Amino acid sequence: MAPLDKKIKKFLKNSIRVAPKISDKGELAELRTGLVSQYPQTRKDAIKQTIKQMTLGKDVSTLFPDVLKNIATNDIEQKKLVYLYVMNYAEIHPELCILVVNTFVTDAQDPNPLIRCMAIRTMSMIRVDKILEYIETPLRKTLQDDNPYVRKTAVICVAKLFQLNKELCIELGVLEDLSNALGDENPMVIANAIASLAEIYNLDESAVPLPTLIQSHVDQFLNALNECTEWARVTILTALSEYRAADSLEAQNIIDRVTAHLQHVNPAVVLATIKVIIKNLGIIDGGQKSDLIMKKISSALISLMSTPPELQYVALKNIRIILEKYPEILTKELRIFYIKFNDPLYVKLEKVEILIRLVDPSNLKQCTLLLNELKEYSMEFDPEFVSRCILGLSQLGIKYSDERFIQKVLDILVELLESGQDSIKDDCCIAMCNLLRHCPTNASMSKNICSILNSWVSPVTLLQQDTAKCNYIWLMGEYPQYFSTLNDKIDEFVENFSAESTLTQTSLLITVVKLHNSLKGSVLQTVLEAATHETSEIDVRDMAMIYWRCLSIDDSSALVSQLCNLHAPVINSTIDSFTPEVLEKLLSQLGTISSVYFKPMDDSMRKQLQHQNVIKGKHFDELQSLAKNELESKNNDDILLDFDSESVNQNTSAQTQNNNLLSDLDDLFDFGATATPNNNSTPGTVTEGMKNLSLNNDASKSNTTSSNTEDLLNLF
Amino acid sequence: MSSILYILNENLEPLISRNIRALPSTDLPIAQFKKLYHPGSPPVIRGNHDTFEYMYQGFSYVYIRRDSLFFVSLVDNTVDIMETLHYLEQFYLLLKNYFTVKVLDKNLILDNPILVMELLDESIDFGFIQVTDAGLIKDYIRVKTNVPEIDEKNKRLQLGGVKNQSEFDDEDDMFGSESDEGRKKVQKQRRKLKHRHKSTTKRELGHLTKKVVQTWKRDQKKKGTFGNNDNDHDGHIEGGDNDDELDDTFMNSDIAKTTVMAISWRTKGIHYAKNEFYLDVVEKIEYYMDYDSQTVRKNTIHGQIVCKSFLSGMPELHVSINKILNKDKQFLSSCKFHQCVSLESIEEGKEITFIPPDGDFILCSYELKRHVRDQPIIKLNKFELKQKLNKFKLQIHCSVESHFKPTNVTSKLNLQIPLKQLFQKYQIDLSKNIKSKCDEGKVLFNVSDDFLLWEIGAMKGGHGENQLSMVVEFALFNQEEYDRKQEELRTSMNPPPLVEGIKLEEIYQQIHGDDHDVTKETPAQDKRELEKTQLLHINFEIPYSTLSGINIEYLKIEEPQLQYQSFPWVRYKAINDEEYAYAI
Repeated sequence: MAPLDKKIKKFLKNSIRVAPKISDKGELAELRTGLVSQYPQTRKDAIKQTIKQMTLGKDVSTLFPDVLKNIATNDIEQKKLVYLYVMNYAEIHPELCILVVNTFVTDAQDPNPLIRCMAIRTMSMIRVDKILEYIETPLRKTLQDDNPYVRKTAVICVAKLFQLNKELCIELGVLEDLSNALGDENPMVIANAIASLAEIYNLDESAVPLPTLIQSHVDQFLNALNECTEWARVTILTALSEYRAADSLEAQNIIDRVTAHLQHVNPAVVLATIKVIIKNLGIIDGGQKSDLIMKKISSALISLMSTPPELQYVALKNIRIILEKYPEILTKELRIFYIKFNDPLYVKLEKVEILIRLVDPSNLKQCTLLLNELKEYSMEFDPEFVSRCILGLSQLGIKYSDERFIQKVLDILVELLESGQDSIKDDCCIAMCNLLRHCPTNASMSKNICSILNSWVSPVTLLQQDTAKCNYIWLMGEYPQYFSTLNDKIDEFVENFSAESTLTQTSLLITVVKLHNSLKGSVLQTVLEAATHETSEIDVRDMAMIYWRCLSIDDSSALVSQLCNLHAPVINSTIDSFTPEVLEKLLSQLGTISSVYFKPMDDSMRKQLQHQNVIKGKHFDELQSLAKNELESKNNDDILLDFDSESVNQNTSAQTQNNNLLSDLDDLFDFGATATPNNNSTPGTVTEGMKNLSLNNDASKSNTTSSNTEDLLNLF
Repeated sequence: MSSILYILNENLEPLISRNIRALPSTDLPIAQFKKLYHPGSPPVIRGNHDTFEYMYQGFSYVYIRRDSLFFVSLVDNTVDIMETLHYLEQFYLLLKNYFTVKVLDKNLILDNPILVMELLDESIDFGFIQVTDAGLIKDYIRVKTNVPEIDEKNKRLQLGGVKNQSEFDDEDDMFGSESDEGRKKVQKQRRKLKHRHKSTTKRELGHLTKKVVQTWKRDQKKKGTFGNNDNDHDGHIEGGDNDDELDDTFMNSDIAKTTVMAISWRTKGIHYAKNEFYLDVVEKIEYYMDYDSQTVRKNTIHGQIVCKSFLSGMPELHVSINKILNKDKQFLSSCKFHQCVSLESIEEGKEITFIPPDGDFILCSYELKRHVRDQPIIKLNKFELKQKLNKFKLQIHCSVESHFKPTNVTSKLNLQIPLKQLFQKYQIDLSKNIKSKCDEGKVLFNVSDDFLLWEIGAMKGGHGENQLSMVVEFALFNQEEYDRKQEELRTSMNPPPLVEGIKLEEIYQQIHGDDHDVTKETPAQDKRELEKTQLLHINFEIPYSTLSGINIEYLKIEEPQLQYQSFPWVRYKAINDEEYAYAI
């Protein structure tokens, strides 16, 4: 039994708190007194306060030495706090970090695994060379730790180190350890190792042979899959999706093993599973089995629609990609994608996209249902959504491709035009022209449409969008006989010629040339002149020139009518689709950011960007610390340094004396940025150059801060 | 991968930012986000290529908006978007769980920056998501939450001024957590009890008891009764020397294991004196019908199996569901299982096998579509307006019938009949009494929200033979009579008759006086909004009944080591979903 009085003493010592004095020196001074207080509890409170200020965005970096004194403690909570602080400000005080390193190294051998983790995790995050130099032993030890929790943290640290200092990482040879970790018995460690390897592979393909590693560990992955957390499953599944099965048997095996995950709660797991299945689906022999799998995928996709709207958005984007490959997958589930009144706009827009693609053009009942649904949507309030729905109506009409059905669509559009505001006229105009282009032979329809559009008083001001105007003018050129006030309308457009954008100008030019016989003589002249003189658009100008020349040769009428009376080809679909190569790439990148933008990522591009990031990162960092130290040496007071927006420009303007150095750096960087795409060896030299610079820099700095350092050294 | 995580307030100012991939600056990207964001932007925003700092060019923003906060993640282009978004969502839930609040606000975040930071650190490392299960993290991140409790304290806090706030804050901290601790104490002490019984497994329990002892001791010391026998006894169990230093190393080393174990959702060493397991099958029924045209728009069952587990050790449960036995395709394809369920067991098609997490969890959720011709569980079979203009009366007739097992009875059944349209269409004289007659329950009139509430309560099941009806009669405004009365008042010497009780018409005027003008000015733009005011909602709850016919065949609890007696409870319930309504 521990002596009671000892305990009481200890308790008292730990619970004494000194109320912070209110002094006129300011908050920082107050915190500083707290940090060096003799009572542990007071010190802890002060650290907490400091961190609070830090998270609020105030600069408390001047307290660095004082906070550092508190790192040697047995209180795990306090240790965490100090680590947190160190991580944030170590870059600003690289010279003091040598003091922390010792603690890091000892902590990495602490009997408590949590402390070991914390130490190695923090250490590998600090972008200061001096700390990274000491990482070798702790990292090696923790990679071989017998506690899986520590191992799982350590494998991530390898990736961190690689990102910060690639050369060192390779030199230490920890990458082999990392690859070995793929064979770990603990699934969490495996998952993190995969993630780290993938990260390193992204940064530099030559560093790790990721594809071969995946190839050789597929069985382990499949086994680990069922025993780990949801997030680890996502990682493992993503790795599996990179794997190309050798034959149909293996592909079938993989599909069988992962299919159960389609029913996982976590949508990320579901999507990753779909990715794996789709990857392997092409390899297995088709037939009944793939039908069954399709059904399962389809119900998994539906389940993604019962997630929060943000996730739905991503799901919808991905469904669109999958639909393109397997158009029949969800045809029976149209209802799921009907719009709910509380959907956010971005979800609504995506849903319309899906609905249009999903509807089965051979199924009249379904099409009619969707038509009514779209009609309801287009009466809603949001202009962007309404315009999408009107476009959707025309797309649906063209997709079903039956004249009676198109007539129905047209009726709806007319109805909308009668009830709606002016803002929808743009979209209705485009929609009608599209429909007309789909069935150009239907005379009554064209008459109808033209008479509606003819009744608009001043289309120039009524229509806002370029495409809408262009369509309107095209229509006038195509069916001049239905426009009673053709001359006035064209005049109006011509007056505005130079203010219009390219599409309108071009179509106006064509229409006027086409109709030059029926129009007043001066119109043609004005348009041609305007198009050759007033526009800066080279296409329009060239076109006008050609027409002009054609018109000016003898016997021009035959030539011109031949030129202008070409009919636009019949459009069979206004739904845009991906090219096969893009589609394949997108399918392999389901769930990633490219699936949202529909822009497949080029491997080389991705790598390059990352690579530059790192260099630039250092460059940036150096500038920042440089600037801060400079300022600090000037102001030794406790004034808060408001240095939140660290743009390069600001720094340069603030310190004239640093100008030389900075511009040097800038030059160097510019050089690096432009040179890297061409030459792989340049980044190395740039980095070296910068290292040199930073060395110089350190030397000059050490004078100013040395006294401070000595103080601290004495303390330890 | 996520590179920086932010929590922003409604003005897009960062409350917390965490640089998880050692990027040079956290301020620059967020300034850019401010420029790019506009209300209604999709959850993925691409970093602008032209104006953005060169090094951030490959980056995009992923965000979710919850309550008044934004959770933003700066991601590079190798990211799995679905994962990131889901993580943000989970992190939000985690915070809510920690603060035990329904709605997060910026003050909670600002008051607890250290906790939020630690949670971030634990849940995501270098962009790799590690764990978001509150039950697990709570075992080793135990920073006290600073949640405002009583208004009085808040006032004092403000009076204390800025300088002293920190001190009060801490004090508040102590008070604040006390009740929480108190709540937990019961449970913990229960665990401790077991601890004494089974001192052989005490090492395993180290982390749990440690904390208990600490809290408990603190409590004791507060009361000034340290040196208590019990206290010392506990100290002994901990392994002799009760130094704080040792405490820390001792604590947690075991939890760390849980996170990385195959069964990552359950810690070892849970103990309950009475081992119980509750399994509730709850089916929410969604139904939407256009009454006039008799077309059914929605008819869906959203089912959930909700469990509460109070079991010791590492029990393995076997649940057999008739749907799985019968290989019901719709059920199997729509069913989502909790991560604890071993998915292979379902593939085999016999039973669900799982090791449950401790406490509440949702074992699985499913969705079943019903045929449009399937009868709804509570059917509105009559809804009519009868006006008797000559008598200046307006009657609403309404009747419902039940369609579920005759042996069951609803425990709650309310009909909510909208009146807004009625009031707009007719001039209803509220100064005269509203008369109502119904077979069962009572009819209430909600003045402020314009609806009638028919509370039926218990209704027997059946297949259409059980019907209940009601009639409500409103008096219409009678101009002639009104004029006559006014005339009478003016001429007669009698004082106006005393109106007893509340004056409904006045209240109605008070509430609706303003918004009548508003509605006239802006003719309800949103059609669906308008539709919402015409919905007749039915709220019900029917215990012991499921619409889908799902049935738990058996529930076995096995704990090979402890072999205790356990009490499984299975219940069924059918309730209405948010949307169980007739459009009239």
